[in-house]
Amino acid sequence: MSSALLGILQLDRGEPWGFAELPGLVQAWLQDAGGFAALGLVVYLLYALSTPTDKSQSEKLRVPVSRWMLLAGAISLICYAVVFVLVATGKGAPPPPPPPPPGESPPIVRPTWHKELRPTVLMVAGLFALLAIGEPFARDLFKIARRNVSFGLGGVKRYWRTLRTYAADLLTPRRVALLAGLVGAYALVGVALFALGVPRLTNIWTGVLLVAVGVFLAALFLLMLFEAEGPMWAVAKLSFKEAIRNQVLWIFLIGLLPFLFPIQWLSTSKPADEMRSATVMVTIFLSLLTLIPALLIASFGIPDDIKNLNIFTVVSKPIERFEMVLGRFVGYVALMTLVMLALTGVTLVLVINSGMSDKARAETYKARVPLRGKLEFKSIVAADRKELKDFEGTNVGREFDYRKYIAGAGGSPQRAIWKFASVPGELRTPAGDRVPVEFTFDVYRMTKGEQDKGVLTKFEFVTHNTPLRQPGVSEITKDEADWPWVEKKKRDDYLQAVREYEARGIAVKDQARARPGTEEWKAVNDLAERFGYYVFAGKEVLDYTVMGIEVPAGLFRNALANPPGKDGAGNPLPLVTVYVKCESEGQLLGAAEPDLYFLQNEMPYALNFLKGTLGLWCRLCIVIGVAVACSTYLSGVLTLLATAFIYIVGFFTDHLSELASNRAAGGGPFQSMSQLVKAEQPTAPLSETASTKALLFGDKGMAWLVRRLQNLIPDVDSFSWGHFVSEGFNVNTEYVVLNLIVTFGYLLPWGVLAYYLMKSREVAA
Amino acid sequence: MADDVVVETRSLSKVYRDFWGRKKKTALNALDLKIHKGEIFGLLGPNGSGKTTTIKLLLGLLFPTSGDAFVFNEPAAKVEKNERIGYLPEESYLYRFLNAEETLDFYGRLFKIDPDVRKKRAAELIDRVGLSSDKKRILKEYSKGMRQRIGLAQALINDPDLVILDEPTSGLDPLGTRWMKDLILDLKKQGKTVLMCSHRLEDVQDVCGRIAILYNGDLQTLGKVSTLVEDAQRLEVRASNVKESPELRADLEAVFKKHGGTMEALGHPASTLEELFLRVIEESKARPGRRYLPPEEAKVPVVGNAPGQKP
Repeated sequence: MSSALLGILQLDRGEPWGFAELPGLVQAWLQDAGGFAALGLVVYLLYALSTPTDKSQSEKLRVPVSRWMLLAGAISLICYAVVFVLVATGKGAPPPPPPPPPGESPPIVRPTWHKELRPTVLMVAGLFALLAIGEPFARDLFKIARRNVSFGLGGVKRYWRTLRTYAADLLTPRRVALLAGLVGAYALVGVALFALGVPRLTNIWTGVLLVAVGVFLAALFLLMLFEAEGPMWAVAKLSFKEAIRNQVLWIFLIGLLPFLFPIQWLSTSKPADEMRSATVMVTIFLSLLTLIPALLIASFGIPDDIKNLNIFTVVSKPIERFEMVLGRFVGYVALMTLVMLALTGVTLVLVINSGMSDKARAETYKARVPLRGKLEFKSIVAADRKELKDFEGTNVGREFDYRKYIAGAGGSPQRAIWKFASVPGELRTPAGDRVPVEFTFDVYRMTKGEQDKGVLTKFEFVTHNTPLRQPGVSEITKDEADWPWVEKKKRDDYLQAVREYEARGIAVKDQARARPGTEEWKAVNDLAERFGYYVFAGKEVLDYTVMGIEVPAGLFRNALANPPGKDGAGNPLPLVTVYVKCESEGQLLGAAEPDLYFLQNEMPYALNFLKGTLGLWCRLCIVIGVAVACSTYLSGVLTLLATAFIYIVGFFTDHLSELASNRAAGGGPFQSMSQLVKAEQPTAPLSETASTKALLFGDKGMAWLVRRLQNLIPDVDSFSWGHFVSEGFNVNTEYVVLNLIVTFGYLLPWGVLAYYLMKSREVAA
Repeated sequence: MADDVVVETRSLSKVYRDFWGRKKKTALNALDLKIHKGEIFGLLGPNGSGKTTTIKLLLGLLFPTSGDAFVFNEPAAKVEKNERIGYLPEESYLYRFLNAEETLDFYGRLFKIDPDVRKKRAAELIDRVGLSSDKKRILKEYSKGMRQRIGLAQALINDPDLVILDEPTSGLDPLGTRWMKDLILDLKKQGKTVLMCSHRLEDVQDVCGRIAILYNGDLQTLGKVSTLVEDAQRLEVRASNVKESPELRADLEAVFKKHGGTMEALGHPASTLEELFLRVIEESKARPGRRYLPPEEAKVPVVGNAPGQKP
């Protein structure tokens, strides 16, 4: 077998969310954002009541309350009343998730669309609350769009004239000469490098040139965009200029300097980890170099306008206040996008061209496209087990309970089973007629074992045409515990076919010995295609090391030859199933779902790196959006603190979830406080007193509050793809698109909040 | 509202409150005011009398506690009305990192002025306010007077029908003050309406047709300047080419006595300090090198020529 390609991706929060979760996310968004909208609607209506809208036309115009708003608000109120009744009567609720096994934390619930009455009515209530509070916002936004976007011929002509005027102003002879001088100087450096024959520096020179051209074109595009007719673009350009002329940005760009040195100087990792370390370091630097200046710039823009009273001369012009907010947001995002583009490009060029070991490049200088399956643990049939329930993997008591374990022995019926419900057609005919499988297992030793030796593991690959079944206790012996084929005759035919190959001198009994390109491999492929079965026994697995084997493509041809049948419950059988058995006596093999995958494809590292930075761009938008929204009401310093707080708390969403679901060990704050005062153990059962009930009720209330506050906090980690890139795994486009959708969904309520805050603010008070 | 009424306030009041909604100060109390097309209207009053508050309410920078304000028949909260307004704040609150050209371009874009027109108008205004040689310098480097000039230029970038000036001569030297007053009068000639507030009474008197005097948020008086400042109890007679003498005094006293009055004073009228200053500057421009000589050096006259200079 060829050497394994290394890359360990730990997905302890499960597979990132994809399009499958989108409906559930939309429903949850409508419920949560709708709740805030309902609260906002109440506050707005109270504000309208306290404003002399009946006597003043100005105030009526400024604080409009339309019939639509009242109607949608009333529908929302009725729906919330229905939800309240449903909650009180305990009806219409979605089924609660199954309780986690004792001692284990509950799994992270993936968002799904709930069809039950309570979540549906709650969603409708939220939707109407959003429609009510969003009506003035949408109306003004439409107005702003009309003022700033023109697709008519007249608009295009004016835009063209603007560009002409702008270009004439921009391209002064002095500037053109300066640009030509810079290009000439850079070209001279390139010629010198080429003449000196330093390929790495020449590559860097070329890469930086490409990045510069890209950034230049992007800047040109943005500057052209800013010349579009409309006050919003004028403010965006102003913000862009202001930030550029602000020296803070340039100070942070000095942070690029470390990358001019070889990465090895900055990290002391072993050669195989050089690429990984470099990518991680670069990702961290990129985040810091973009997010901190973005936060600083965005926090002080509007507050400085108000503090310096510049806002007087702006707001007294025909510009909607929210137009100004939008202009600020667009300007900052545009500038920081350019900065990010430049930094990403330059760092990528430097990372790619840094002198790294070949091993490091082989391990992580790529983007694997894995095909993952669903993991479950099984053993003998439940009826034969003492616990009378299915085996679900052993918990060995490690604090990090990411992996479950199967016991090792020749006669162990325990299996870690990966089921692949679908298989892409391209795996039928891969290069070399083989499909790599990679895996990382944790070896938990019960006995000392042999020095520097791994544990022996057996892999069985079967298709839906050759299902295996759980053995009964009578079918296993101390030394043998194979899972029997459901079709015994097929098994006999398979063994007969193996014997026939052996008789022809082709060794296929021990399929692990077959190498791609050999006669044995052809035979193994043939067997896999005919019988849908391939076994690789005696693979030595080292502790927490990524290893791999190769599977004949015939297995996938068999799997895709006909549609799968159904199991006893009526569910379609998985196309391919992988059974993993630990054969070393006294050892346990630990596995988590992402630990084993088929290598479907490989993508270039650079593209993956760029895709990964899209997550950073989303975070950039979040930081700028939140800061600009907060700055419509708070001072610059408070905005800075508030945004930083919201963003940093975003790293601890798991802990927030624990608090919000009131499942933290020791209960909520009231229970904990009580136990602390009474010096009780957190695990001690609570007494059934009125005070205890009151404490638990208080904790429930606190959990409810945290659940609401949780919606204000972005899940920062879900936008981070650094670990994918550094470990050499492809960042699925689906994940990135979902990132963009979630970013928009998160920022929209902030936008509505900013709209109302800005509109209700007396800028001259 | 009549067609020629540009600004109207109806019982316009503004009460400043603290965070908890407690009343801090009544800045304006039931102001009723009408400003007609083409007039220069002055808002007078000491600090804190409600002049600037009125302007901010008209511009929508503040919200009224009660009452209403209209500009060009539109409620003050309506953004579109600002298309016909030019506003110069008390201090020139402009972006200091922009130069004069960029500043006017930015404000011009807020009005969606055609790029060619914008460029042409910006150049004209820069020239008009006398900043042509400094148009590439950022505003941070400008003096207070220069900032006030560019502030006025931004207020005129949209060729407004109503110009609102808050303390327009603040920070200007006497030359600048005169220039500003001439410009305001020029705006009137162009048919524009000007609303200005100031506590430099001589400025207001020089240019305003009508004024309102505010005190503690209340309107104290309103009317034509000429009518308001007229002293009907006294009579002023001016004469030229007559030397003051006891005989003249006696004759005049006799004449006034005959008509039932009393002569209060007889003497040479004094010009204002502003007039003196302007005259001196004009003479200096006409005679370069002219300088003040101390009496013991110059004997007579006090103001003479520098050594070696032709008289």
